[in-house]
Amino acid sequence: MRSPLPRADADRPGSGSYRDWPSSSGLAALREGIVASFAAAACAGAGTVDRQYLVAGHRLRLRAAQADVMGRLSRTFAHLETAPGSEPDLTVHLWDTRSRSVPAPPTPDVGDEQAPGAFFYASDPRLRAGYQLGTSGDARVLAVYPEAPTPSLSVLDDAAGEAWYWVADARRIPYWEEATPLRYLLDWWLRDRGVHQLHAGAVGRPEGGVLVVGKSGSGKSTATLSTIGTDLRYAGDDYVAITLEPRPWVHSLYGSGKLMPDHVGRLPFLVDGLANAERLEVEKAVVYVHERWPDSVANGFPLLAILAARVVPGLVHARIGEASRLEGLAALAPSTVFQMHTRGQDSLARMRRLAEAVPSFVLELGSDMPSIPRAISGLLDRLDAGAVR
Amino acid sequence: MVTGGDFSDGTWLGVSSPQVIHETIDGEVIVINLGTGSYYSLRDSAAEIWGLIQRPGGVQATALVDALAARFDAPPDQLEAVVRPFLATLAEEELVAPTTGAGEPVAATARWASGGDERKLVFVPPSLEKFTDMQDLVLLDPVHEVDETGWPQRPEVAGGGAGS
Repeated sequence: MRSPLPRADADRPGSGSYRDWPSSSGLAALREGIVASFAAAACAGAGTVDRQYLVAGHRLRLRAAQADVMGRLSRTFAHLETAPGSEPDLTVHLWDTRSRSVPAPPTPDVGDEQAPGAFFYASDPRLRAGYQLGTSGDARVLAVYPEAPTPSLSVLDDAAGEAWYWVADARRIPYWEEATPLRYLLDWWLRDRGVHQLHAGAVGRPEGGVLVVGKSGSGKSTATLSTIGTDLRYAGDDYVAITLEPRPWVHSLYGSGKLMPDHVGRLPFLVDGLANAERLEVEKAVVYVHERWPDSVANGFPLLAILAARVVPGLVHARIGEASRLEGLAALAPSTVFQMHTRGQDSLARMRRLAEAVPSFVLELGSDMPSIPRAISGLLDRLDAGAVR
Repeated sequence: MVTGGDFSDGTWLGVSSPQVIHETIDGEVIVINLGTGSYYSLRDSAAEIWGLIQRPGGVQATALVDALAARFDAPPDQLEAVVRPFLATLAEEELVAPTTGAGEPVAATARWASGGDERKLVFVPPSLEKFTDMQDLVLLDPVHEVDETGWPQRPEVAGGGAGS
């Protein structure tokens, strides 16, 4: 039977692979289980570790039961860290249960689902919960892939200002999760505050910048990371947030950047900042821009344009051309909808409003990397001067 | 799902919500099928047809053709010969489906994607531009959405965790 969800999810994930769920116990038991699991983990260790961040103007506290979990999941937020002050708007509890003395929280019965990225979502009027499969943890799988992605559970109780992010084993958090963690929690939490997470990169100056949009492989990361060391500041290469009121504004979420290993040679200055240089045979190259190039990072700026990136074989110098608003929306919306699992009409409507609020352009990428920031800066000059609208 | 492309029986058609989401910008429409990972752009007459289908309650094919005849400079029989196969294509792509409730009369409430200009437009047969480059994401990261019965529980087992 397919039934509508409770009110919480006008903008809920879609129904790509429905199945019938046998239980009627709801999410209340889940909340009790995760609270107990976190408390046990904190007791088993040396207590909790807190850090606070300012995310799109909202105060976020990360509270970890284990120091290494905090280390892995907070590294990418360091540029947003702020001194502990007023009561945070949200506290996210972080822990793992690799120790057998700590009970794992309740997780759904995933049946015969095998896809490692499979995402299970539930909500009631109070809670949102998402469970991502990782892998089975089967010893035979781990024998050949010892760092197989760990299962993860994200739960938000927005009214209480509390959230939980559990992983089975923090040592098996995959590199992409470490670079851009807590995506679903941040998305659920922020969207009700008018902050919308997008699958996009962003670079700019204090007076204004651009979103760089497109599906994976379109050149978003190459384009955004190419601006390091120029007059442009980096706010993210894969996921950033925007607000529409009072004017369109980009907010950085993550200080990380990821690039296909064979593209690092095009941006050789990145080699100095690689976080996983010894693992490039199996992982994308990861840089934490705020660590190596702190002056090149911006926490946000006004949004002046959307650039739909695409690689043009044979082209040398990057160039920017006109695009319709539909082209901008089409480059932004499908990848955001499917990447973020924010699969609802409301998400698409917000992106349409964004595409109506700022002009769209095509950013064609060639082989000459320094020409990319020059092209973007040139566009910003023209936008600042009001020459383009 | 509508089959056969025959909508002459008075069937009301509407958007296959919530599986299908859509927005109109500058008279052009983007449509995303969340279930298949395909997305589409519709322009010109295709955007106008979509604008009629997405009305609350949907639209009947006959009323849709009549409305188009008032909007475009083309005879109804030519419009019908083109529009019905287009509706069949939308149905095959699972973007539209029969609706249970009747919508408002089209003529009185039509909101044209191209705006409120009263002049008749040159009719260019509708086309559906389809993109499939997101389908891998749907296959790699399938989404299982829990219904109102709640979070699924695994059977009680000793030390039941998440397979770590």
